[in-house]
Amino acid sequence: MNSGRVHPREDQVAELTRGQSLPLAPLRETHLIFIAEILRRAWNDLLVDRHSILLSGGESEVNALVETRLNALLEEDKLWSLLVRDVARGKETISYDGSHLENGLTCPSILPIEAPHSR
Amino acid sequence: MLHNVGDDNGSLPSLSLGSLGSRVGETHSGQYDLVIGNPPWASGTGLPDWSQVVERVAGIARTRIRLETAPKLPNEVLDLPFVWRAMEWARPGGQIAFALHARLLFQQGEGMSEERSTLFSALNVTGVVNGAEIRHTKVWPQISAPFCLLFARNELPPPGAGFRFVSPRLEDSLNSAGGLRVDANNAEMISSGQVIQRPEILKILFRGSPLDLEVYDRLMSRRLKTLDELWRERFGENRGRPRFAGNGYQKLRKSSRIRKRGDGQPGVSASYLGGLPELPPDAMRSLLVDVSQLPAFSLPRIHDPRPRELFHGPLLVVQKSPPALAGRIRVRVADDDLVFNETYYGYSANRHPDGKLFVRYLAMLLGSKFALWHALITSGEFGFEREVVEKFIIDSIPIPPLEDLKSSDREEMDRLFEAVVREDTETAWASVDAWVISQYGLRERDLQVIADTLNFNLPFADNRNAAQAIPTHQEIADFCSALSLELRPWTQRAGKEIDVLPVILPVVSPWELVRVGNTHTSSKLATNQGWPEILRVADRLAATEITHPDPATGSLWLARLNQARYWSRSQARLVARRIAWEHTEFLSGLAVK
Repeated sequence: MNSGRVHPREDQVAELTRGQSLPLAPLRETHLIFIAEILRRAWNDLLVDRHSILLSGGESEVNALVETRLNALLEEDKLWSLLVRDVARGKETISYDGSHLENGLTCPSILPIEAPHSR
Repeated sequence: MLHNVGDDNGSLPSLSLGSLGSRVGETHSGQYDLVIGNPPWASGTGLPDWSQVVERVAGIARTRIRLETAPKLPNEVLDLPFVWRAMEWARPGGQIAFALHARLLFQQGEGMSEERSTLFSALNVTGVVNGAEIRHTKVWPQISAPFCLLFARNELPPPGAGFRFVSPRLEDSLNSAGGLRVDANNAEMISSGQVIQRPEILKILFRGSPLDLEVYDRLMSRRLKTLDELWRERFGENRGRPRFAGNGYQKLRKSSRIRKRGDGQPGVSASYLGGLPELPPDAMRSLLVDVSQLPAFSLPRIHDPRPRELFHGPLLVVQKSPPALAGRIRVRVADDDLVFNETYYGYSANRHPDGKLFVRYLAMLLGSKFALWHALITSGEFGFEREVVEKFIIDSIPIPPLEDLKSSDREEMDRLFEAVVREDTETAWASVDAWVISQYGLRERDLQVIADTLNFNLPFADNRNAAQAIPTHQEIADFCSALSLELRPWTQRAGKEIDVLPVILPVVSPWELVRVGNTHTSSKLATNQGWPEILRVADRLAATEITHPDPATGSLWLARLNQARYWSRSQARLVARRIAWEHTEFLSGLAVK
């Protein structure tokens, strides 16, 4: 790029003034299937290692175990760590337009590495 | 339009509040579709009616958010009250845009973190262009202060609100023509909630990347005590400051005061330090200082007294200004008493039961790349406005307890320390870096992230030049190798193999191109690709990266600016993540013929 081509980029400024478009684009089915597979793997692992807690523990205790296991898998599974940065306990959250309360109470929520958006 | 509402008489700077004062009254409230401005960035101006500004801003804040305390407006900065007043002047949902001092984004102390949280809670910020790196360029001639451009909508941030955080990088040829590259597609999207809850996040993402943020988060999850906390716990405090640690002595100067109960001369007598070996400013050559080789301290007087205990061995001495070439904070260990001046910080472990071991341990930690990285990504000053690492930044580095070290780790530490004492080379320190990383529970690939960040983002001229340099063939090959390695698990899942190869462009270009495809991918450029035109458009859009899935050739083309900062191994990991999220069809082979 040289000085002759230096001029305002209106589309870039438009992006900066627009902010984040809500709601975010839905996740692709491919990713959802993989996340489901990982959840199943974490659950199966826990069935072996923490069988009694899964059967008798309360919701928060089970979710804490799932959260820990999903985070541990970030160290073990390269594909999982390619897609997900962190898994944390969720909390009730108002939807983007305030129309309803998300039913995310105490379920682990997954923080994707990249918020998917179109380019 | 608000114009000339002050009472400037054209000669002396006006002390009136101008448009921040009562002259701009209720008639302007909610009247404007757009409020745009470049308010003064001065701080500590001591305006006589400042309390009116504070009161007015507090009133605006109260109408928008629940507040336990009013906005702090730390150091009486003049630019931030304009942003608050703009919320009053703009219509609901109207556009607000300001050029501000970048301390709003990065400063950590003096209440600025809280101010940042409050402001981002009250306003739906939609975009931030951080101009800290391009100050001193022709982008904004004669502006030496770090600045930022803030774009916002005049409304509370809705749930899930976020903004693009763009940090234009120093590009000498572009900047010298007055241009900057604003690539919103290659910018971090940060939620307002993150800024509100995490005061350090903007600095981490300015000097680092999302990978640095992950390393930092893993580090923080260990909840280690900082050096300051450990030191106070071990040695106690004196007048609110940790004992046996502090800045070195200052020479007598013109401003040295005559004390009421002193000897009638400026400064204080330095006789209590007389004859002790002194560490000269250029003595930071060997990790273990041989005090017998040092000259004796001989100044009769100094500016202010320093406790004698500060100079008791065993001592850790830290150089304030990290040498640009070293890429690490310079530290030295002295087992015996030693005097040092204000260019150093000192930590005396004389009262520690195992003082020699303790200072050696701290020397390993603080001399590692990890420590400088931590300072770079968290300091509100270093890597932003200053090239000096302040003591409180050193003190904020988390320290794994010495007592938790296994005996094998202690033996390894001794071995590494002796190796650096024998030969103070980068090779010897590299082993220290790896050992230190392991003490923090981090991994080898985290060290790669740290090294890449320091290499390209330290605020020194060498690092700035390295970031802009054309990547070598080896760097591009390493990038391709790392990208291939990262993507392999995904393609293997689809039963495919993957390879990434550099491609020679048919024209001289500020871009480099690689081709991502199956193992039979060719490095030759397909003749029907209109790359000169694609790159011309990308250049026009100020893009830094192009990804182009090409079902016809079963490839994904990836073009990036030919600047070394875009071709590190860490960058390859970030690209792999984007491809995994945005080009799954390509990776799964669904769209490939």
